[in-house]
Amino acid sequence: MRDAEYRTAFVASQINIGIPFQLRALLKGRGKTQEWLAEKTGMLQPRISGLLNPGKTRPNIETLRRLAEAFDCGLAVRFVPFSELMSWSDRFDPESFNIPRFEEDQELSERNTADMKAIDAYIQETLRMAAARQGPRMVSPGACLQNNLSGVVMAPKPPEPQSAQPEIETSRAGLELVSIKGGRKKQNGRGRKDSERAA
Amino acid sequence: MSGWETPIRCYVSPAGNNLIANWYAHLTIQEKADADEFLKDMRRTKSSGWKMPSYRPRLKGLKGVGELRWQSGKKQHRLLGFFLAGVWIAVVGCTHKQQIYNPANALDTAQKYANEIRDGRALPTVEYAL
Repeated sequence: MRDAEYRTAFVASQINIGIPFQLRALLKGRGKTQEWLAEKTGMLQPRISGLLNPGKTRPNIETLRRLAEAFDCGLAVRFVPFSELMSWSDRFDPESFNIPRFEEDQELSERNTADMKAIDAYIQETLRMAAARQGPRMVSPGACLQNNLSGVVMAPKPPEPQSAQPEIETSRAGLELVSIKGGRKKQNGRGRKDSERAA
Repeated sequence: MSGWETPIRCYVSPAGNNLIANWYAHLTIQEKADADEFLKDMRRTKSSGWKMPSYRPRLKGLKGVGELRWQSGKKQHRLLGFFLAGVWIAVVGCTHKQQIYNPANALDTAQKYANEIRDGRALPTVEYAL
């Protein structure tokens, strides 16, 4: 590695030789064929065969991006110290190398859960402070988000209105608070006309 | 050794020359880097995973001799050898172009060296550590 020419050659070999080994390990790990990869990338099967053959082709970044898209995984292209590249080369194991698809990405799932919990805790605290000031019943979107990842906020069914229409207030924290003050359903046009006629 | 899934060892001539080391010494810098990466990844692959296009287990006209195959630049590189007790023994390094090996006697030499090792006439092989 002290030889600058070898260092340059080493970087090229990571692409020309290393990439085919990664692709073959990914195909094997997913139980997929060259035909499947050809269809997913929109490339011809002989081209895929060439990409799997060490040293045969020199894939460009766009080709690698299409391959990453087919495998539903990320692609990191960045400049690094030689020590990092050597470390990667030393650790690479074709027998165990596999990259999970997005939906199987456990770390991503854990990260989302942690983010959701943090958001929910923030909302709960904000609502608690607002409730302490004003006292109306509040709906916590975070409580729903925790159980429903679609992000749809579902408010618990409010008690039946008694007389007056419900009023919507906005707290200082900018959250919608629904307070029931004995309201009833808004009259439709016909009902309003009836009452006007009666008057 | 050695932590490798499939270790590679090198033929040593009766005169004590490591012929694989001689082959490696004559490669260009890029060819050396590519050979290093290829042979490292192959050694980390279980022998059951040694398949085409990187490995041809049997060569036509030879008995029990196969070849590791990779490309560097515009050259098809070959390392001829065979499996012995779970270890792959490399006997000849060469290039290949349009069905022709260079050196031209690479196949015959590989068969000869393989027979020497199997019969116990060659010196003990040494681990590939180039």
